[in-house]
Amino acid sequence: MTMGLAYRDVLIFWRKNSKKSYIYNAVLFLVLALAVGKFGAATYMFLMAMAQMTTAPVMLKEADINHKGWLFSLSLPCSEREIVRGRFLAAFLIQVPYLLSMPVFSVIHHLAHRSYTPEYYVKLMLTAWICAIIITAINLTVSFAAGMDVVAVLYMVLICLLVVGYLIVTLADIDLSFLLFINEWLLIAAGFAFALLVTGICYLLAVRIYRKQKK
Amino acid sequence: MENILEVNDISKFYKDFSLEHITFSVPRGMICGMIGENGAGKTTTISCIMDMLKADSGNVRVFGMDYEHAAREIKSRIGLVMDGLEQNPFLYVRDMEKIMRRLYQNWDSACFSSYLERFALPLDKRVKDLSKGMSVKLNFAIALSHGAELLILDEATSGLDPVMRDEILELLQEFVTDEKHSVLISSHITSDLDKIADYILFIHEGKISFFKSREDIEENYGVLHCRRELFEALSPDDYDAYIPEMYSYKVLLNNRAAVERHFRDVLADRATIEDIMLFYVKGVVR
Repeated sequence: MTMGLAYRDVLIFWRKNSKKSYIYNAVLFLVLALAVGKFGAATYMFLMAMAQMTTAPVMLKEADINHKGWLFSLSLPCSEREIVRGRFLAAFLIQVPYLLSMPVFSVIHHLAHRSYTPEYYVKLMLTAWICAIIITAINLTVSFAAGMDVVAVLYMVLICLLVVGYLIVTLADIDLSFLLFINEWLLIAAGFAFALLVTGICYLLAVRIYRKQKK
Repeated sequence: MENILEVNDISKFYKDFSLEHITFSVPRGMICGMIGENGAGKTTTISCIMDMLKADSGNVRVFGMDYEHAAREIKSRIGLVMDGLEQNPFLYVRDMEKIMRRLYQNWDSACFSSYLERFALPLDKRVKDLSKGMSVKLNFAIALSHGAELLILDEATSGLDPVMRDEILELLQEFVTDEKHSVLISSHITSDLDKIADYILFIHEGKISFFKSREDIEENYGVLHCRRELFEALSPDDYDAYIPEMYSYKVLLNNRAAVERHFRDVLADRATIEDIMLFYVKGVVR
């Protein structure tokens, strides 16, 4: 049942995206990989791919509100927990193609510029993924509690915060090497653990909110 | 006769509206028509029946089970078609099969294909490109392809032309012929209910005003246009409601034959469902 609900959400997401948006993404992908140079990698991972990876809650909420998807789910033979689980699963499945685009991007970028080591690309990818998981989980929970406007604004705010942080670190050339006193891989593992914890808490909260709203 | 649906004293309270003490049942093999003005509480009642909304009190039993213990089983045996509850407009008709077979355990692909063929629904069209009628037909095809025993329709035929409505009514009659399936249909188009409903449930301002079998309505109910003298001669037990007019009275008789026997020259018209609704809303109810 959860798979069915997730499948429906994923299909709605892909069907809703126009061909134009795919072409636009492909062009941006190539520009960042080939023309921007050193900063292209982080820009793609953290801004473009991550922004795309985290749009699911907003788009699915829009489908719920404008096309009564919420009501449709309630009419199905499934529990509230399955409905929430289906939405979480869909949001993370939607991330997969963008996630897979990152290594492809890294290879092209590396061949074109040779700015970073392969290990550095992997770290960039994983860090971007951790951020995407956390943003998605938070936004999904909010999407069960609030209207579409709130979800859209929260999405923009979270992405803007990330852009601002990225710009500050890049433009001001802030040295983050102090983080290296901990093993970087350990830091990434801790990041994943934290992201999973946030997702778990968000899921439980979302189930509670959904049940409460039904009443 | 076994009841497929039992609604027992359900109430739901909102700030500006309340649904109060709704009690009725639908036997197997029957079509129950639900009528009422906009905002009377029909959709709220259906939402409570579907467990899409929690009633503040009372309970609903479907197929002899309640939602607390068998929500999944109940919902998998109900087909719901609601006005405005269309499939996502960006999906294709062909997507429905892939989605629904993952959502309903009893999904019958062959049955769905046969309905698509019968309704001439194009697989390669998006839902948003379907006409209103086609969209309704798609919803019916889905509702009828997962082994539903109870079909619940909420204004499902509104906005359809008479030919298409007739086609849908035929389909509903086919659905109940084996006397194992039932239909609960809410509609503003009372003439449709005149044609197919076995029971009529009339909800007015959140309460049940009237719940009778069509047989009872056809046999006993009538509309009488009469002068004041005759109206005053009638026993209050002979009518449910009346509407005073400029020089006469319109009376909704509940025992037409008895009145006609008692007053030899009186001839009452048969009451339609629309007549009954108008009397209860606009008239003085006894």
